[in-house]
Amino acid sequence: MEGNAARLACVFMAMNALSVDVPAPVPWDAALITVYQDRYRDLVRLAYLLTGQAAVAEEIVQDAFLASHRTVDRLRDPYAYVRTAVVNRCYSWGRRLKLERERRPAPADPAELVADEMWDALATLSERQRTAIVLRFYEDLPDQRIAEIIGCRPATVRTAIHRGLRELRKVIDR
Amino acid sequence: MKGLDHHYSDTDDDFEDRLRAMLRRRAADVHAEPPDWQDLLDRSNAVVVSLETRRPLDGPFRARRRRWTWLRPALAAAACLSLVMAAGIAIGRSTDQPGSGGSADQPSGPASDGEQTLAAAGSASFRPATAAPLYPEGTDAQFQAEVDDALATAEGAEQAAGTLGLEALADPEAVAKDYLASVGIEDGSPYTLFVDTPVDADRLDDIGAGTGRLVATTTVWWSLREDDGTSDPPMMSMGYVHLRDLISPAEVAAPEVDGIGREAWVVVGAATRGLDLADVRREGDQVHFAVTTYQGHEPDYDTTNLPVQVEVNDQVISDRSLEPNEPQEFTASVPTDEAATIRLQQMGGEQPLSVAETKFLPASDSTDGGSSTDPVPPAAPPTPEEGVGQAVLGDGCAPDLSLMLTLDLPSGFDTTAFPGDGQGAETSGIPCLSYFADPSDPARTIVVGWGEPGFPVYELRGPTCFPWGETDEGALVAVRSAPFPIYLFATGVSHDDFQQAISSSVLSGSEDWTADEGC
Repeated sequence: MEGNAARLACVFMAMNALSVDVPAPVPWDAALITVYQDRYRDLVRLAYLLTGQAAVAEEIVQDAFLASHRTVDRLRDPYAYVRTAVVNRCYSWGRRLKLERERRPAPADPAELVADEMWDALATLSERQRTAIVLRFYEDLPDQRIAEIIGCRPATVRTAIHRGLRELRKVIDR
Repeated sequence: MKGLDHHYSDTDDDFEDRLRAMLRRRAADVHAEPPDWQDLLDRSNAVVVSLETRRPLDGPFRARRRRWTWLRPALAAAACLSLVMAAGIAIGRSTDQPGSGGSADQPSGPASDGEQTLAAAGSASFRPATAAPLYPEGTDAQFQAEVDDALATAEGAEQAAGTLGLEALADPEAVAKDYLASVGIEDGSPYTLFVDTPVDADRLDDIGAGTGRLVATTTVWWSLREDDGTSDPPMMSMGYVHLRDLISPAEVAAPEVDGIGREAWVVVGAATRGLDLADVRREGDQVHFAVTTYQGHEPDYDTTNLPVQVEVNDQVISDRSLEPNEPQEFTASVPTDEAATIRLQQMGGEQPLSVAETKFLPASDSTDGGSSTDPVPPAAPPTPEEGVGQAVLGDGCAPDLSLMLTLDLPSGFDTTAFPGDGQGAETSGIPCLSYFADPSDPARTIVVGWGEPGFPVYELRGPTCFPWGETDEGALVAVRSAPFPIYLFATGVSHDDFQQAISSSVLSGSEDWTADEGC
């Protein structure tokens, strides 16, 4: 994997050296490729839990890696950075979808239909609640870290999780 | 598996375990393999372009610009609104006397030196951070004082959650919905109400003007749609509600109650597409204001022919249709020592379809800067001052390109204050900096950019916070606009140095900035 990264790095640097269209040397760090190859699936799964759509999740993760690639030489913790980028993109995607479709979910793919009331209930939560709950109960992140990722105060995270769990119970108890 | 010990459920830990198990089970169902890395790079911008777009810029920098697809039409309408406002000012005051007459419905006289100019929700000068609370009733200064007192102790905090009803105010979207319901805009046949908090909501702490106090604000967007059973129901109306958190982040350290975060959101203003409240002035016991109806971009129906109910302090002073795009002036009598609450609503029969509302405190009570636009006092930087600066650009536009700010920062950067994991940012008043890059050597140039082509920057609904990581040397800056002034934050640089850098480079070095109020 490391050799592959180095090879790709050489190719990319060579491209940069030859190309007149690239305005500046593109930063490069094999660590990001390592994260890409090792954690891609994990991030897609996280994005899937946040969006509920596997195809969208993959697109979002790829987009996040592309964006991270441009800042790769500044990444102290590439995985944390990309994960934040993924969460933020899922967050934005959910908000946009919500506004555009106005709570009218697209028909589910029959292949993905699984009787899972808690999963369905999760989809009814607000973006903030869903994101906070997934990061807390899937990623096992502390409130402070969740707050940093979604960009709010830890108190807001606690509120979102508390209310999200309450909503989940309500839906399931119906 | 149970990673952390903190439980949010009141009684049923098993519920959390079931939730964990479900999430892991669903995640395990996803089987994704990464495409070849080089293939991914080659595809580059072909992915999820609807979420974000990138635009290569001349020179060595490549700035990212956020494209908020759903927000863009809103911005377009806002720009349109500002043009309508400008047109109204240019046309001059209408001599038409609308409404049902009475002492509260007289044409206003010319402005005098003693008048107080006020900013209504929806105008660029409106400051949610200091505006007077509208809803719930009673969330005034006295309520604020009770909250402050209550939060001083754990016992008081319990009382605050119960007696003061803080829990009911913890969710800005819920508070916004309650407010809309209180003015007759709610779910129910034939319309359905949708609400949504915009991107970057409530991470966007504003700075209380002149008080040095951090105040969280947010904006909840709403739309009222016809329930026609389709996937894209026609939109009757669309607007937004400004909210402010009564509880300062400085109080976050106070004890919590039952896992509920310390938030108490109150509505401080409402605006709506197609219905503009502007040119508000207070002169003695007279309150003057102008109302304009126009056809917004997004709503699928033209509502300009609907009657507009104009209320001042719950007294209806007009209830008739207004000539579209023509500012209509109103005047109401309000005792000088009383607040004036102006509410506009377009009515579809008995059904209110929109609301624009702002409360204006009497001049003697506007100690917090309130709604005055004359002028907006500069905001005090939060403490600690290190790493915080502000730039006041004034009104203007960045046509056709992102606003670009170039800061030539002095040497001496380090990330001591906020190490790489962002610890410390929360209490610094820089809530959106979640990632900090390694420090690098001396002076660097930081490029900050954002914007949408053709939109006046001040129409970016603020405050808005942009974590920024793409710089030439790796420093990170976040931008907040409120909408003005613009706040810039950088790690490790002293306030004075940063302020100087901003003053010397931002104000003079904004390549695409047009300092033209009417542009």
